[in-house]
Amino acid sequence: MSKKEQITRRDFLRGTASAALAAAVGLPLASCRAGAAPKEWSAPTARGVGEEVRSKVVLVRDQAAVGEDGTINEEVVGRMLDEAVCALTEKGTPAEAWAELIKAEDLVGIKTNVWANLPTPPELERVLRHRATAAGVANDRIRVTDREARRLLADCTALINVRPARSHHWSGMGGCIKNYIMFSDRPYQYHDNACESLALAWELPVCKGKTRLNILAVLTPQFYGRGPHAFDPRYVWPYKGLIVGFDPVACDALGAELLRAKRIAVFGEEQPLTPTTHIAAADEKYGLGVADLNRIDIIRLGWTEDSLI
Amino acid sequence: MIALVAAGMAACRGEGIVLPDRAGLWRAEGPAKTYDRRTLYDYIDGSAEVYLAYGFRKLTTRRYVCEGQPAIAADVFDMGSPADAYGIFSFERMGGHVGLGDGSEYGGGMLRFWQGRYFVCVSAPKETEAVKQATLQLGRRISAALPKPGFGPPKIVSLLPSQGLRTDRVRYFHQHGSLNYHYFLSTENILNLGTDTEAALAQYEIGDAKARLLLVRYPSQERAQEAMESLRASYLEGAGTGGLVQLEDGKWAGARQRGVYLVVVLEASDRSLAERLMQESIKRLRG
Repeated sequence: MSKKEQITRRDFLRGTASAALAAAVGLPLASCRAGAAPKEWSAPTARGVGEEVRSKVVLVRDQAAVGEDGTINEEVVGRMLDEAVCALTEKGTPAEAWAELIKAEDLVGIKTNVWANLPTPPELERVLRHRATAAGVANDRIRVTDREARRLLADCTALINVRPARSHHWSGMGGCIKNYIMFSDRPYQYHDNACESLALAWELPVCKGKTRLNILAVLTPQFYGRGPHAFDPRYVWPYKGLIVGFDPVACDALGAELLRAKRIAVFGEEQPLTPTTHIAAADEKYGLGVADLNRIDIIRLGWTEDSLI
Repeated sequence: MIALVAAGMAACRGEGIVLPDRAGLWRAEGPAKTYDRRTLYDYIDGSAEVYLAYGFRKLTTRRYVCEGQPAIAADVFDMGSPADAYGIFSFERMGGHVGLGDGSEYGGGMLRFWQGRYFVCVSAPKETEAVKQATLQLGRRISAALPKPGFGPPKIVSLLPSQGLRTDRVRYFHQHGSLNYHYFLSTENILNLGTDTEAALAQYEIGDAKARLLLVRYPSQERAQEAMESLRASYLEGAGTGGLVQLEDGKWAGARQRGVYLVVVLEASDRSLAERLMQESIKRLRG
């Protein structure tokens, strides 16, 4: 490995390493390299590696989304999602917005996450199923799965990627990018170097180019994990939000920054966590989307208290 | 290998490790299961690498259930050596000793302790008072069934200067990935860390001054020398004769080699603390 390819902590301090990678290793962004002249990001597979683009994500929150006892309010979450897709698609009504995303003739696959301690909330799954039905898709043409994604979602024409944000020992954060690992028949092949190559799962023919929407649920995100099962109930909090976008990398970059900000707020300093290099690599190495927060336009909707980001 | 079960105590033996059948109102859901280095991934979703970066040999685990309460998992890891059992315990230690084994902590429904070459974690996804009592009871019974405690941290940890040391923030490990988990240094393994190296990473606070110190023991003086040269070339450009350099953020870093050891001050808020830590470390290595 030449010195040129190697990136050290001092490279960040000198401002010669990218802002995306600085965020991945939990270092301040201020002094890092900024992006060049922007153009608008379009779709996950529509650009080349290294191309300078901007991306847009919606952060929507509602104080009533999660009750005191942790119950998720399906109606409120549905409204939040409608507002988010309207903002994202720049349509005036939810019906117009969803029609932009899903066609009646689509075979819709909703890729969820079933991790026992923090699964995709069933309330959110039901909302998505309902919105697809409302867009004209027959109920028997909507499939919802996680572990069976490779088999059940292979022939889908439209995918909706939805899962909670949580800290993760190997990859730093489990988010939208990582959620597609189940489309692979060999998920372990992405584990090297803190799962740096996870973006390659998005190149698999069963899912490539099919994703219409990414939803990183931050209703009750997990900002830190301990123990063999990487879960500690003290480190989950009711943020009551959704991060919604076309770009999975931008959604994850914002989610990772949220978890980092929460760790600092709670612990007074950044706690050790595997760097989220797969998010930076998804941008800089694999061209899947935008990881540099300087190049992500955040549309904020709803409740803003303790937003952290 | 494993200690005896108290008379009358029903238990399940997972190839040597004895796990109780009951803990308070909780009863075992089934027999104990075991996993090795090859199969650990089947049990741990997302953090097996942390254990595999140490000398992990075998996990014995059992799940306990109680109606209306969260399930409790008891995980006993044979880490191959007391040093590595301490290492995995130190990896995410946060404090709160509860008097079990050779070192322990409890918080949020999770009991962690190390005892000899075993690391034990008893945890539930949600804490209630009943969970806490059952978790601690399970921990005590597992501890009683393991070889008696009486081990201390690895020698390299005792070589860390004591003044200002945050003992709850000492991490012991072997590999580059573990260092980057606690303190990102480089995308590449510039210190040439591996399964045959030992490292202790520590935090210091003296008044307002703060620093991080890394102590590494290599299997040979030549390896230590190579690592020193690699670090100088990759990270400590501009270091003076004292081995220290002021970083771009105003903090101080530096390194010195002594025999098979490398002493690295990673970031000190002022030069005097960096010099003091370096000198004190070298003095302790001489002793």
